Amino acid sequence: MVYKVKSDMDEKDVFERICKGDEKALEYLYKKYYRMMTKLVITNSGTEEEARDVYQDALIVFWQKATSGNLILTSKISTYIYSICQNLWRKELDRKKRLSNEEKDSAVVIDVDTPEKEKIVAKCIEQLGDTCKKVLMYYYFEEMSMQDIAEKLGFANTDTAKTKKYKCKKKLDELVKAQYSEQDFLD
Amino acid sequence: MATERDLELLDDYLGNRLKGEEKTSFEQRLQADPELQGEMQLQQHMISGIRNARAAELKAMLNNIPLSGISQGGASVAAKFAMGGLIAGAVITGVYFLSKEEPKEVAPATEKQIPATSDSNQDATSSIEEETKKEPETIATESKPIVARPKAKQPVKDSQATTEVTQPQIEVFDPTEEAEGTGSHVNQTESKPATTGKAEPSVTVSVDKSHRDFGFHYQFKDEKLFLYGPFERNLYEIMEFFSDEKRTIFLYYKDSYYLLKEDGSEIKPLKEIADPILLRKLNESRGK
Repeated sequence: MVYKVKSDMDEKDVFERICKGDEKALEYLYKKYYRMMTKLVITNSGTEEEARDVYQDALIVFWQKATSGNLILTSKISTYIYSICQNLWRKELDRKKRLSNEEKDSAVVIDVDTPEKEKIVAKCIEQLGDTCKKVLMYYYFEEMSMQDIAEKLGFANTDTAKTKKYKCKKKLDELVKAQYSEQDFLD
Repeated sequence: MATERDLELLDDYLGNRLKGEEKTSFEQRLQADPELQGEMQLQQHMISGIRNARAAELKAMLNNIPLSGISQGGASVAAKFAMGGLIAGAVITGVYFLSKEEPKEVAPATEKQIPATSDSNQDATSSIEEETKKEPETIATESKPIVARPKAKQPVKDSQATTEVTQPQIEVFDPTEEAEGTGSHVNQTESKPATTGKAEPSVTVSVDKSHRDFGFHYQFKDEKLFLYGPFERNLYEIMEFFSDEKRTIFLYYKDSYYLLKEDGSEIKPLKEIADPILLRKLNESRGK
């Protein structure tokens, strides 16, 4: 009888699945490295919450790069994610430091216009249907090809995916423009 | 007002899909056309809005993943000791029953399955050492006595050693070490005195974390068991089973079991047991 030792998903297998936008593989990675990644922040003057936040952001950066095909992995996945965590946490520490200096100087410029517009866009995205949202997110965030989008969302072919993306974007365009005009009018 | 074609071009431009001359001429048009610039800003807002929404969606998904069963990074040393104590109690009770009731079933099963296991642990170990770049770590560990008792398995608890962290710089440790139980970059050797308490020890264990060639190996030498690898941060247990005057020893480490063969004094790789029947028996004996 042959016994095979294989307790974990293969590294290559996980990466391939991530590249294809398999969220289950992302979930697997999240659990697998949770402790080691959060430890980095916790042992460097961060809280558990900050640690989780940094780890999640790092994983999302990794996900975005992998799904968009912009990542050629030359190290282990954990090493790569770990280095993102390090960078993000360093930035956060810098930000905190700057913030405390700014408080001392009390010269903070607040831009109220951009967040307001972001809110409008977010609200309009919420008004789109689920499929529309997914098409646009896969296209603009994951940067998936039309072929992959068609496969993932069960469209007949890439032309259907293209048409869908075009229509959804147009719909969002209209919604946002209408809201922006309203905002300008109110201003 | 921007035409359909303009919107397409803007989409390609913002997605970095315009190249060469096409890109240059579009940029020139942009500079000369304030209305197109306004449209571009709007498109930028929309695209970043979509990206933010997706990132938030993924984050919400990650937040909903249950983390039960994953030990938290900030767990205290005391908590780990307490956990070790609990496991120890459970294992001793489990072995007591096992050694009384079904000693003959366990040992033969282990004899069968070991030769067939693969060397995956060994392979993983060497690759990790090559791949991970490590900065010097500032962790000092204490050695501790580890003893296994005859006729019973003795949970061996690693004292969660004193940890000194240099601040404020970010402390760097090898991320692969903890997840995969391999790699050894703490240049320290733990060797310990053999006995604790009144029990007569049958196996004395030493942990050697400094051996670069043997990241996850073991060796029986001079009636002592040497474990090579980063065992200092986790609990591990030595389980002994006796059947017909024959002793079978297992190592339990990070939710996996390994058979420790006493024949020969060479250093052998630790091979994870995969036989579900044997695993069930071992889990039962640990009181899981």
